[in-house]
Amino acid sequence: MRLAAAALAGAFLTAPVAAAPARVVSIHLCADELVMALADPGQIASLSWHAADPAQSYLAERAVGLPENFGGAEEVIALKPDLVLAGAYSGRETKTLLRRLGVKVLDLDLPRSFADIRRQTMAAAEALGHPERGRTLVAEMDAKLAAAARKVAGLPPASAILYQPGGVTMGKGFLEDEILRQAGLGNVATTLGIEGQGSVSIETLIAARPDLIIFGVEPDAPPSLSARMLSNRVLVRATRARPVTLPPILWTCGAWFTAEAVDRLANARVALAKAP
Amino acid sequence: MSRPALYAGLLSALVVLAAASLLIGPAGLSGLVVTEIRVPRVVLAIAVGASLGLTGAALQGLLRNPLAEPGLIGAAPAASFGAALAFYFGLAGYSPFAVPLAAMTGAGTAVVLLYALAGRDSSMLSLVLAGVAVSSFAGALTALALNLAPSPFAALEIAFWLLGSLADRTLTDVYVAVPLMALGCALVLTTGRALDALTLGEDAARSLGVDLGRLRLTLVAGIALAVGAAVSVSGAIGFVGLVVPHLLRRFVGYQPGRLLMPSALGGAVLVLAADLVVRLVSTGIELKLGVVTALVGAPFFLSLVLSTRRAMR
Repeated sequence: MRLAAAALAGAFLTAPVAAAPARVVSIHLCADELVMALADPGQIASLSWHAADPAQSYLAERAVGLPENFGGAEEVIALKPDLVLAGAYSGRETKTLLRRLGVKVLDLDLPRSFADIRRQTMAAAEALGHPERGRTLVAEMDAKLAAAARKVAGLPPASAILYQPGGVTMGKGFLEDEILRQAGLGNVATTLGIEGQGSVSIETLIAARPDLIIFGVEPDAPPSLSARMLSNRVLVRATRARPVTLPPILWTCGAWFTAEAVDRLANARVALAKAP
Repeated sequence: MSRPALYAGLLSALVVLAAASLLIGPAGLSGLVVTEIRVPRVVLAIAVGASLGLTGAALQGLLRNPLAEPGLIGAAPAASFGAALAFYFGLAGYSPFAVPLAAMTGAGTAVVLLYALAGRDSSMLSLVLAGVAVSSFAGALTALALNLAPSPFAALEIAFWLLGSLADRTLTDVYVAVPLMALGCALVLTTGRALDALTLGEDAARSLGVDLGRLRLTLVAGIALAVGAAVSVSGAIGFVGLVVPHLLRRFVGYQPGRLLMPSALGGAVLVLAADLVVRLVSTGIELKLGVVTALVGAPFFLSLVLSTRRAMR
């Protein structure tokens, strides 16, 4: 009797919170990356069609060969998923329809801070049945953030702006703002009063005299008129700012690897301090 | 072609296309997939197509101008703006009713504005001009919402929605929008006799006992309801209201009243066919229905214009 009770208690203790889903489908790039990092390869039934694109997906090489989907409800249902991961601002109708059909849908919001990233990583890890992997990923990210913080500790304040094609920049309340702050940089966009997404003209930027201009472009992005604005030499010469490039792949989907963006900016901040 | 033959042709095309639409898809034929995914899509394609075709025919009759289409009186662009606002303020996330309700509020506001600008007793010309004004104003407001969108993802979501699609709509969308489309269409269908009288000119129509002010009011209200509700579930789907009446006019002896019902059926057939094409040709990311109707509709319309010109020589 006592043995049975112990066995029962043991069973309760070792039983996972919920059974790990056997067939996971992701219909959003940002969810793809978390699924690839957290799930067993055998759990992944399908990833979104962006997952294997090295220009957009941080773990593109891991997605090669995995079935891709284009996010239609019928397509997803045909995969017989236990869990569907989706992202904010896309597939609204599809998510509603899948929920109506009784499919469990985990909707990942756009993270606006590293705290959001921690929360989201853990939510995905628990839903996928691997909370320990979530904790490892978050710990990795926090270690990288702490290392970056040590690099810039004690340096005087410097200002920077993330400048994307078309003069688009991100201010208060967005993840990009915190990336800059964690790297010891004051965000010029926030100082200019921009909340969320905004745009800053070249003249305004020159007048604001940032120490660092962070060009948010992929090194081999297809040419566009608005990207040409970024290669404007006048901009760098007139502001005497130090140019840095930071590939959007590191922060467009805020996730554990966004700490790498902080690290790169911290290095740029250190280089700025050493420059004459 | 006789009238019964025309109706028989359109109805059988509708039945065949609807059946094909219900049977074809990647997820096989399980009951839930058909009732929850494909039925809403087919019902909405028929309702949206019928609304666009019918309102196009009615407006062309009212204005006695073959270039008129539902977008002209500003209801469709205003409905788009209403929907864009629902996305912009994040209301779309709270309730499945948010986007349709916002779109219909937009369409309703457009009609009220239209009446303030071109009241009951003004000419058809001022109605068109007011419609164009409301239309461009709504278009500008939509652009403004895109311009000020809180994040690049939100802007993209609005932009994609505006392209028009029937993908993954639910039965909820059917329950919300179809009764309103039906009501709007019913209002428009009551105007057949008056539209026929109007072909003789406004004065002649008046002497035949047609109340022109009431005709305008009925049509504008009906079109706002039908088009507003249609846009609220599908986004903007172009060219249907323009092309369908053109195609069918010759079969009904060029009488606008007799053109109404065939145009509703023809619109339903066209949208259903276009939606089927979208689903069949899209091996990858699904093409947007509104993109396809305009892409196929525009060259087709051009060839129609050219052949008409040749015939007139």
